[in-house]
Amino acid sequence: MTLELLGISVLWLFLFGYIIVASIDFGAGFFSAYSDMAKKKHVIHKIIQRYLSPVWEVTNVFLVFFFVGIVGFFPKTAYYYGYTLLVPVSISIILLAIRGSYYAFSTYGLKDHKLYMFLYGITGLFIPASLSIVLVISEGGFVDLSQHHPTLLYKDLFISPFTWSIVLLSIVSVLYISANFLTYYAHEAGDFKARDLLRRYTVIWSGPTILSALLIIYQLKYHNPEHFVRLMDVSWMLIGSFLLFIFSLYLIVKRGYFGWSFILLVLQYGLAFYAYGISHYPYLLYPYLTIYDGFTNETMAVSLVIAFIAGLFLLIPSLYLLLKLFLFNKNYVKGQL
Amino acid sequence: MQTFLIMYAPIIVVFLSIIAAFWAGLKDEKIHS
Repeated sequence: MTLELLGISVLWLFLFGYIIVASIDFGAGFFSAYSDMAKKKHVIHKIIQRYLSPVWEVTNVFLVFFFVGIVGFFPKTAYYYGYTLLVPVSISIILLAIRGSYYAFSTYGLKDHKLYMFLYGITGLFIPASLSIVLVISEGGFVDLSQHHPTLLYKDLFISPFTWSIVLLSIVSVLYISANFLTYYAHEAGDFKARDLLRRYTVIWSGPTILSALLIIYQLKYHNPEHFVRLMDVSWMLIGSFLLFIFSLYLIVKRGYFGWSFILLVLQYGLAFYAYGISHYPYLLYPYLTIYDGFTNETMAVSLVIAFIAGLFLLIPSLYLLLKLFLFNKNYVKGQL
Repeated sequence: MQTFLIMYAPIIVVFLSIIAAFWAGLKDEKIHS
């Protein structure tokens, strides 16, 4: 395995970790606001707050690792993506700041303020939507290199159905992953009213999730035929992902094995995410930048790989302790701690 | 028209499914009761 491949594999793993952990967090925020609109806040608000309080500090560590790693391993991405992502990622950062401030204001300021709750819920959808633009741009067709620096073609990006397909998938995935996990979490906490409501949300959002995933494959055929052909080479992973989706949903519908349902969901997303990543290889930005263009020097690459693996060894035990001491501590989830 | 059907009709279907899911979550009287 070359250092380039090792580097992108480690980064892809971090990105996948972020997608799962952040989706639960973003979706939980949305459901908290949504249940308020549906006048069912009393049913699920407590369980969501129990979950969010210890987790929100950890989520963004994955994202920071990814950003540091991509620029460290592949310095040229800073040139290409630095210009093109200036506006989309700035929007994400502003939304993250709004979301972060909710925790402070809702903890030390007015409790359950409607505006805070609304902003918190809506940022849970807009942050993944704005971050997903990175994946859209990486498919090519939206960056103009005819000037002195890369320029993002905003109009083309905005009217492209492919853009909206990815944005829609990012939003519904957040809701589906989150509802599935929180169903399991409510079940573990013995809060069966909350579990039934979240289980229903999981079933409701499963339809749009699978439809939007199919939509992306369909749109990719027109937007980037080369990537589409390569994706079809690993179609067995997509079929496996679909089967896992069916099994995961079946377990939820049958009201049993909620934990297994969530594990199957993670495997489902893992297969689809890696199918996408493998077929995207070797491009970081179609058709200008591959992982072999301007890779960092060997000393830096080896240091980064060691630092990242050490980071994983630090992060995984922290997550384990977080899960053990708070999230799945029976006294904590029942509000007795 | 054909271009519209190929490129935009599927996305409209998905968008409508999202609206339906959003609405279905709000109108769940069984759980509420």
